[in-house]
Amino acid sequence: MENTVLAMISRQMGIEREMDAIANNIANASTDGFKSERMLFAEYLQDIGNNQTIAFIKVAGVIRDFTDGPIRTTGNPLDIAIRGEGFLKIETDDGILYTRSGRLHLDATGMLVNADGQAVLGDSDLPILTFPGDIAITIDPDGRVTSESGELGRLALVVFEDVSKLVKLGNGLYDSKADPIDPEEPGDVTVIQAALEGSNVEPITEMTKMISLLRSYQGTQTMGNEEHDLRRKAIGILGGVSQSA
Amino acid sequence: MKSLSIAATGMLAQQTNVDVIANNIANMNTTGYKRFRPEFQDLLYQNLRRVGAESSDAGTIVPNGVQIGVGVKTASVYRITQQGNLISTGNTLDIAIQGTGYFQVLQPSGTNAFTRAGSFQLSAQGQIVTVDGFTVSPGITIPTDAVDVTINANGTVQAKIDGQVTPQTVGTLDLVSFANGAGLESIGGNLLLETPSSGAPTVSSPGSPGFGFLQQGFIETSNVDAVTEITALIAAQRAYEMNSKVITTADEMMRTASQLR
Repeated sequence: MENTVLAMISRQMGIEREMDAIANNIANASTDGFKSERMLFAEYLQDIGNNQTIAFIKVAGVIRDFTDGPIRTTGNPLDIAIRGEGFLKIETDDGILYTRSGRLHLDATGMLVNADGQAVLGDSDLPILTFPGDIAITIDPDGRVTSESGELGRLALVVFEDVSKLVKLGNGLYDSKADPIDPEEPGDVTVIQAALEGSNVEPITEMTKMISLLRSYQGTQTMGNEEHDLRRKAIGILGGVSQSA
Repeated sequence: MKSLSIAATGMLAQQTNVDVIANNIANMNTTGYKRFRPEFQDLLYQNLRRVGAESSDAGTIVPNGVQIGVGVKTASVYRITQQGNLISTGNTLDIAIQGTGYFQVLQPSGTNAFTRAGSFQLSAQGQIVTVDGFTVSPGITIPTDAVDVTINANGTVQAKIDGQVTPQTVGTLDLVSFANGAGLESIGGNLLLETPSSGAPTVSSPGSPGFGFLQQGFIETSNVDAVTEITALIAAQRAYEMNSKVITTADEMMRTASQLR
């Protein structure tokens, strides 16, 4: 008897989770390098006897959409946009992490860092240092950084066999248990200087998804109310015996 | 329902975005102003189902876990040190820097500040000062009987004294540069201060390697581009609206839930 209500609740909890994911997507619609996410649901079958099963809904995972976001030019020579499924290597206190956000800065020692001041690594995991007085810094599509003082290093651009196994840590950083691999073809991952990759969140898709979620939430609720009426009626009819007596 | 607080962080971020754009537009005609840009980052993630965890006794692992983000934050608001346009003013003490570098200014407190706004004046003693009367390093005094002042691209200040044939060299303006010019702290009044992230200043004369040239009779305008700012403003406003729509939807869902009979 309670199964209808329980199935309904499992659906509503799923909708709430999905709503959280959409809220996070929309909140990050102007976060550079952000990748949109959606929930993956799975059926959870339970045997309730009499050869009957009831299907509940459970959250199975998060699917991250790794398509490239829109590229916009900024004119800042230290901004880079990555084309393809490549990542930059960032040195942090917790070891090497990976990022897509290409807003680079120089720190007081002239080292190439990200917005949090963590070193952006080049080949052989060495940081890239500029010399005092370097003004014209160029980054070519292969990630080679050059200035008036000559070639300073090459940005490490790595790819992963399975990007869905990356763990998001916030601040645009990803952690990986698996070691990254070099891109197979040199042209697979390229860098565009003086441009940034925006968030790949499609606001229209998110808004329509949100509307349909709200409606199915309300629809599920109606189902719960119908069930409630059904039971009240049943009790009224079945309990009518005692009233007439 | 985390959606309410997630959308709230989104609205806060867009508010910061609009604040920064408003300040850029307000300073469109400020000499030597460099525009700012906010940078956003995603906040922490909650692991509801950890990726890589074992999903059965047979050792199969969860291919993609359930991570729910909790919103967005402003990571930094940084200055874009792109060169502004040079506008001819014809004023002898208007000096623009073409290239890298800052003028060093001695504040009344005794500490040095840095500026790219080169609209200078003369003090009562004939010294080259900023519009606020602060001495411009190294403190050049123009003789009172000078009829004209020439400042060349390398910063040499020459005064033409009435009755003399050759102009007299009275000093050389300094320029300073930083490893990370974007790391300087703005204190208003077109002045910037050294910070641990900017690095120590390197003093040199204009035109030396790594330093820009001076241009007398010009000022550097702000590098704010009106079209870019207005389009960014439109995008920020729409993003703000979308976040508020998330709040409305979450609210409606909670109302639906509370109406359960």
